[in-house]
Amino acid sequence: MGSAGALRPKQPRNTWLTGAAAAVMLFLYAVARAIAPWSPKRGAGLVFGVAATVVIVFEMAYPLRRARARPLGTAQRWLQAHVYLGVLALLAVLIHTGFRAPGGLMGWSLLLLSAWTTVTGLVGVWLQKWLPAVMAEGLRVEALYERIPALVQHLVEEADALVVNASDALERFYTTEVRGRLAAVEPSWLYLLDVRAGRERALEPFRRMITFVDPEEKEIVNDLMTIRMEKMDLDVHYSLQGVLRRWLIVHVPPAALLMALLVLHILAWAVY
Amino acid sequence: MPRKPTWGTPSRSEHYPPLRGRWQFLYPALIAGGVVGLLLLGAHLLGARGALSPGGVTTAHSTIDTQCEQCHTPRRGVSNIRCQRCHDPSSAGRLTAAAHVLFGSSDPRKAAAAPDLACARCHVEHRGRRASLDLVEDVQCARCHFGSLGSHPEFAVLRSSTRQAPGLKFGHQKHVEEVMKQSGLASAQTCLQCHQKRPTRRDFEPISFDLHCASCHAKEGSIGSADPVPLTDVVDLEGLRARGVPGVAALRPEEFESARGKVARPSLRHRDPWVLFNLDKLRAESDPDGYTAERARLQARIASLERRLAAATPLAGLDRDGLEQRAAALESESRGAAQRLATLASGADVRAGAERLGEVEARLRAVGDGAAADEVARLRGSAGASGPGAAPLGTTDFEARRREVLALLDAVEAADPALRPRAQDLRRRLVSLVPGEDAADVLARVRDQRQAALARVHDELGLRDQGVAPPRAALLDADRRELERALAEARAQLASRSVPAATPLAPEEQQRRRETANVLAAACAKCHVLSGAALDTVRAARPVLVRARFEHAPHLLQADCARCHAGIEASTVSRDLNFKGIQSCRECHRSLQVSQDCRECHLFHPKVVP
Amino acid sequence: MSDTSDRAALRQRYERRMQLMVPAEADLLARQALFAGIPEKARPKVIEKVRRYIHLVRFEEGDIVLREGEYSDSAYYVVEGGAEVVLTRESESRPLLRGGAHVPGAQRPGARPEAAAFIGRGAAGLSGTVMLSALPAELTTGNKTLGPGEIFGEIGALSRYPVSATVRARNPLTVLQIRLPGLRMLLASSKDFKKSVEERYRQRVLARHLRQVPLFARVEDAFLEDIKRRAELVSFEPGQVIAEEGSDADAFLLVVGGYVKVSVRAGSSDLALTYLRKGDYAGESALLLEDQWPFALQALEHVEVVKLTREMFRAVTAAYPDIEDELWSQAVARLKARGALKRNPVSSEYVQMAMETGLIHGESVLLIDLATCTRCDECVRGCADAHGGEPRFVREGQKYRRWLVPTACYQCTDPVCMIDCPTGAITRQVGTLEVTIDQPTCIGCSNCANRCPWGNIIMVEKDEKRADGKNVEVATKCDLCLTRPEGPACVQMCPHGSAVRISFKDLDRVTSTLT
Repeated sequence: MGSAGALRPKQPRNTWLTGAAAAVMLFLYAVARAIAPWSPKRGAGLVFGVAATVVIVFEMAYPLRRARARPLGTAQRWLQAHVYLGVLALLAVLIHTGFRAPGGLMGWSLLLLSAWTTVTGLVGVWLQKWLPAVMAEGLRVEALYERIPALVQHLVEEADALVVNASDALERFYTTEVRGRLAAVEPSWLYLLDVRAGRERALEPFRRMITFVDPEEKEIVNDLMTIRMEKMDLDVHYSLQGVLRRWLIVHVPPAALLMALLVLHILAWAVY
Repeated sequence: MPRKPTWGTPSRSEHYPPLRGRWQFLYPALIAGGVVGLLLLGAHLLGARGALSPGGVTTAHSTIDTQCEQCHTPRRGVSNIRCQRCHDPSSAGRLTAAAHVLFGSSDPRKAAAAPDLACARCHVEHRGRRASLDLVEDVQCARCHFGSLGSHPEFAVLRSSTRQAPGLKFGHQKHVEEVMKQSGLASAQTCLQCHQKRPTRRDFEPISFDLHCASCHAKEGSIGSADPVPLTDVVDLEGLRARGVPGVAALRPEEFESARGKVARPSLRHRDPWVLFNLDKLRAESDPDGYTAERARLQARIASLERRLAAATPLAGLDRDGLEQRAAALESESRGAAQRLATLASGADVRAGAERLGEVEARLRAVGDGAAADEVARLRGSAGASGPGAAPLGTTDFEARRREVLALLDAVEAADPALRPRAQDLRRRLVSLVPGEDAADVLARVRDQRQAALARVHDELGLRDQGVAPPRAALLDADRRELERALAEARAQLASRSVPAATPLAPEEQQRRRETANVLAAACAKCHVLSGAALDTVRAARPVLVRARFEHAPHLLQADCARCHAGIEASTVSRDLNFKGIQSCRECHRSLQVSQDCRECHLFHPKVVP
Repeated sequence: MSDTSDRAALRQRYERRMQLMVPAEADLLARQALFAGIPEKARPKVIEKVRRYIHLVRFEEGDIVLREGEYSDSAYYVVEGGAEVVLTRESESRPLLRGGAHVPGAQRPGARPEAAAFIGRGAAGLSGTVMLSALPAELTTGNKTLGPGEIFGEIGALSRYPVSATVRARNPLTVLQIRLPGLRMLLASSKDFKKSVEERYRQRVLARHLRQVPLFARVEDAFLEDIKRRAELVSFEPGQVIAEEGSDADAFLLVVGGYVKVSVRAGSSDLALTYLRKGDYAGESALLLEDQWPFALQALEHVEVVKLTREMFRAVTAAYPDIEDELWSQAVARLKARGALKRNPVSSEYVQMAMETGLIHGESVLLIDLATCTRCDECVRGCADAHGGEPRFVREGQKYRRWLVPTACYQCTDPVCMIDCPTGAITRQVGTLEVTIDQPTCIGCSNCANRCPWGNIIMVEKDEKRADGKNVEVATKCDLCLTRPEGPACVQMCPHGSAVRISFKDLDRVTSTLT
């Protein structure tokens, strides 16, 4: 399964169901529109608003369910529901506004936050399909995110041990060209575009060095090259797994803000 | 040994690195969200209402944009009462659905049964400063009426000949020929010679004598001459001057030719004050009942307008004293109606009325007015005979009875000017009666109206108690101005019928007066319609459609007159429209899909002064 | 055993025993009848080699030497004192250990249907291998005492079957504990020993072993005796070729212990077709068809095989035609698989990998699909949540293609971790899949953790303190969430369905899940 294949929906049946539900919603909207003028706080507009609220509350239930390993169905089903219902929630919100621009700060905030949450959610879906696929395909080494600095440290120590009795030239080569790149984790945004970015260039010095050392030290250079490649793999892991983790910051806090504003919105409607 | 590349993890950890907290993201996010929400709520409670507002209000309401309590009641939303605080002050109920039904069907029972629509249902606020609350979608109208132009019924005025008499003798044919002869235009182009577009409005200038007819019909300012009429029947110039009739100053004694006890005028101007005054006088003498009835109707209208004008200040514009006064007045009226209702139910009404009539009779005899006392006794007898629960009067009987009572009120007021307010009140109530309505229904209606108005006043007082100040903007004056204008017009009309009541003449005298009137107004009768001694109201230039307004100007860009009024140049009667009706509207508005909002022609709310 | 004092006492006894696990004295060994079979000249050298794996162990009265259900890698030679075989009522009525790891989940009491899918049981259901009892037949009837000069536990150690009955010290007991490497050395160097072991096996156990093979289930006793007499017991070293592809097939092989790789030559390499474990047989197609070996057989580890000659085999099939039918169907299936493999060589690579890395042993191996895993740790979190806050595996391990094999216990068919547990904390209930550690019983000796070839057992510190002031450690491992109705939390909690558990023994499932 190539990386491109990773982007296909895991459960196509759910995609079809969601499409059908969206079509039904739009049809109901058209029917209601023809019968009476559209108002978000009465009739069909209110129904869609309530539906959007219910779905958004359910969306927040997903992280709560995730937290406890209770017997409530597989996490995969919950995530599928979370993603697809999130799309339908945005559609319900748009229909609730009657596809016209909201007036006032509250209305705009709610609409923009809904759109942002859904869009970042879909971006997250894409990231979560794309990045693991390229990581699995393009990298050899696997690592836990939290352990990567320690692992890099181990690699450095291993490399140091290799060159401890080496010739001067090798030692110099190591100190000037190699150790600097090995010493610390070097995350980079370029790895998002290409998992093997910069790899050939990084290995260049080693390939050159091999021609200049004695035969018995060739092995050391090869080992150093292997270590360097592993370090690059760890860098990629650090970058990409970091992206996957930081994406949550983009998605979750606005969703919480949306919930808070939604509570206020409903309060305002009920009281006034 | 070469170092083998690692597939998988480089090493195994002895223990699992600590998992990042399960709630690491959720807690801070929820807390931050909650804090923001609380901040907004706090801001709202402290007065910054923009936080929770669903959108700005229209420009007209912009001064109260952040004062939610002006329109919203917490936990109950917006009610019609709040709209009526500022709008519809003068005739509470003009802007309701019931008024609309009444306006359209003229049936109070239907109006009473109409559902109570919320103002906010059609006039949706909080859509920003540029939104117009007038833009009501057709779908709203389609709730009760038809859905599209295709199902629009034929114009009522064409369906039944309910059109009022035009009051003018005018035939298009002759005039079109004449214009064609004089200007050399084709027949289709002659229309615009008289029907001229108003520069700033969207319809034609109303046809007026001075603008359109005078150029041919008033050569050198004269419409014709008046043949000699007996001097005894008419009032001469000095008499007019002595009565202070307006417009008399323009007349000169040279225009009058008196000879052998008759006076004639060789040239008359249009709306000659001498002719009009004398026609009025002759009318009063030849048809005293009708004259009185007309006066009484005008007086009743004036009374009604005066009352409405008195209440024309919107509730939001009154200070606390004013509100309390109004509340007290409404309360007493409501109580009065309730009491009357109770007495009606108990049947004591008739007896009390008979007693009161007996008292009046005794007083009159004591004063020495035997004729009036007899009159009262007769009334008392007939009232005692009919009693309550009799079959309702037919329309003509009802109108006759109404005229009788109005004349009586006139007499009462003339006898004792101090009774004028009471007489005005009674006149107003008489005029508002509808034939076929039960007295109990009327009283109940009155009581309910007063109660509703009282509820509005209490609501306003409640708001003041809460500290909600009335809006600062200039409160609506249009109603007041309309009322004042209508009142001035009614007063002017009354003034032109101000011949005092004289002793009734014998029938042959009345007949002679009528003949005099015919001679006097012979020149007028060329175009006007003279019935009895009165000139009929000219309605020809008024809009034809009763419940819609039609603007010619946009249509003239697309079509010429003949498209809708084909054949009008052959018409000899003023009544003719030669208009095809709704079908000709459909030709463009349906098949060519030109805009056809209901609002383009129709109004929902009746005008201030119908 | 949940009391701290009990645990402390137990630890003391264990430590005492560990201290005794020093190599036995050479002269002591020389005196034993055990070594009588070795030629005089070679004896000292053998003893020197072997004594590393032989320990003199003393048991108090009542101490348990072997526990029913546990795995042992040692033979016990009684020097002094007496040991008794204790049979519980269950073991009387259940003379054999059947099923074991291979009883399908659906057939166990309290089964959880979806758990079967999560655990990795494919549609194949019963995998077909039978676990055979390792204790002599007569020992299982009545309470027999084993006295000085008697040996027990050697068959179990050699073929790594769980112990079928508890052996307890009746009076203060001194034994020579001979661990498996030493046992093998003795078998190799002492013909007498080998013969005696074989003899014992043949007399006591072989018949029962053969009886348990479904193939011979309905064979008459007399026939079985005949087979028993004439069958040959052969041992193979790891990597040793048992049969060459293309060579003449002249024997029917019944695997008694160890794993045997069945491979086909394709091009320049061998393709793993399948494997045989105890209870499986090979050679039927060649004998039925009078053909050469269609595959190669290679021992993956120490393998013990019962060999039946061609005549023997013919006699069996002549007498029992239904056995022949069954053999035919098995042969046809194997040839079909062989053909399929030759056409599509790549499909066997997972099995190959499993054999090379040892995953083949696992009954339920957790695999994480790195192409869909977002490294969110939900699997570990779910595991921790199901086990009171501490996870039972680490998301680290070998990566093969796009699959990561984390350190979650594979629930091996022959769990070596169970050998040498001093308290019996680590057990596998008969008829179940999971190897579980009873935490209150565990004293933290880390024998199991050290024995697991893949480091899937992790020692975790508890709050209790030991006698020397350090924290008590307890061994923890994946237990397939046997207390959860839906089965393993790791599989259920993965939001992307990246975590799967399969058994590499189930080839259909391997193909459908991994490729």
